[in-house]
Amino acid sequence: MATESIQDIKRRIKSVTSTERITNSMKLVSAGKLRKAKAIFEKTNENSHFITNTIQELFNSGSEIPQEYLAGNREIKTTAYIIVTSGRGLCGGFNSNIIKEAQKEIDADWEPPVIVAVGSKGKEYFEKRGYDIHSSYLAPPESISFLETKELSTPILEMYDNKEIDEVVLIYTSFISTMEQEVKNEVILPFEVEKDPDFMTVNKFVEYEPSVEAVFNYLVPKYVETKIYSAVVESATCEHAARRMAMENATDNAREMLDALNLNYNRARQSAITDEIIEIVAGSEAQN
Amino acid sequence: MANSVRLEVITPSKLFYRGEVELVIVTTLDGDEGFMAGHVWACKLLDVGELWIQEKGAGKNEFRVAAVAGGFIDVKDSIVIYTDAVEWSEDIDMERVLSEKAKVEDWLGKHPDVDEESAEMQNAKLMLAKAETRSNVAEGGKRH
Repeated sequence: MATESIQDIKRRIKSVTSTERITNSMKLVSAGKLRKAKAIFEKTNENSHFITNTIQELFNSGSEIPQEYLAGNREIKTTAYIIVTSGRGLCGGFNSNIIKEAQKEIDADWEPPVIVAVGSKGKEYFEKRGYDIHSSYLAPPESISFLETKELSTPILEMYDNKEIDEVVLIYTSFISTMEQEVKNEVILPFEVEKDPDFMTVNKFVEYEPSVEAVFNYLVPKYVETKIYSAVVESATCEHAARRMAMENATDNAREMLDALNLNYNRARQSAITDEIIEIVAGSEAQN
Repeated sequence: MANSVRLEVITPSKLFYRGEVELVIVTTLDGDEGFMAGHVWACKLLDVGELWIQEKGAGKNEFRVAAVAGGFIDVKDSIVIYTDAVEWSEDIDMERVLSEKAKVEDWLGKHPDVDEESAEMQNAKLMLAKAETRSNVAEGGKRH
């Protein structure tokens, strides 16, 4: 009957309206968080470039540096994957893209991987599939501090030094623009630094203190820490961008649905009125 | 007037300082060392210690002081200091410093037989050094 469907439509309009309100406010919240995260991300990016450059200079300084961190020094058997996902959902394909890439990489290896999960989504996925999670960081990534990344990176470096792992791969989402993010996988250890002939032009004497080796040994863990830290920060930025997009789409869809529902509602209401008028007219005619 | 050199102090999450300075004094592993414009290129590790900056145009004994939690200094045509954590003397929260210091001392008191070389002991000593540096810096630094 017409009256029943009017009520049905009304109920649906109500529920879609409230959903639209939620997604819209989540969108606004994400937009705010995105702005904040982006500011930190830009600073971190600068900083990580600086560390990378300094290491490159060391390599090109021509002095003896410990070889164990250089690529091609030992056979790569066990790989450690640092997988950076988010702790919360509702951000479109953000997590599934990362997990897909990670799974692909892991499937290509012979040896079982060592997994370090940042964000609960990645942890849950690999735990369910029976992988051994070496360590994880589960608090919201945007509030990660540099000290906390240190807790993640120190055991990794130790394992690398003890030759339990031969390669460290970082899988995270790289920020291109607010509209576009890309899954990246980056080998952070061993280094693949090639001697750059252009670099040799700065053939100035540089004082290293206490020694080149000491500076290098300080920089390597710093490099790994900075890489992980900046990946987490970058990924947090991407998460907010992805969520903002997802919520914007959801809001748009909800509005479209509301338009269609309103149209249906008005039609149903009109036809109900028409029915009533017909009944009244028919009734009065029958009396005459 | 002395020549000035560009100094940047960076931490993992922010650019702490950027500006033209006449003199910068840091604590390297071998002791305090000052750098001015035209210094030979160097790359040195820093200990937990104080950072003294004489900005361009500042008077002879006018310094800005900060506490540094170790790191390294890269001296080229400009100077870059990289550190995990750094604080201006005026921003140091004395209450927090004292409570941290008390915590470490408490731990040391409870574990008198910990091996000198162990990571825990090293860590405790590092914490203590940081706390001491920060309380020194908060009071204007050792050069005052």
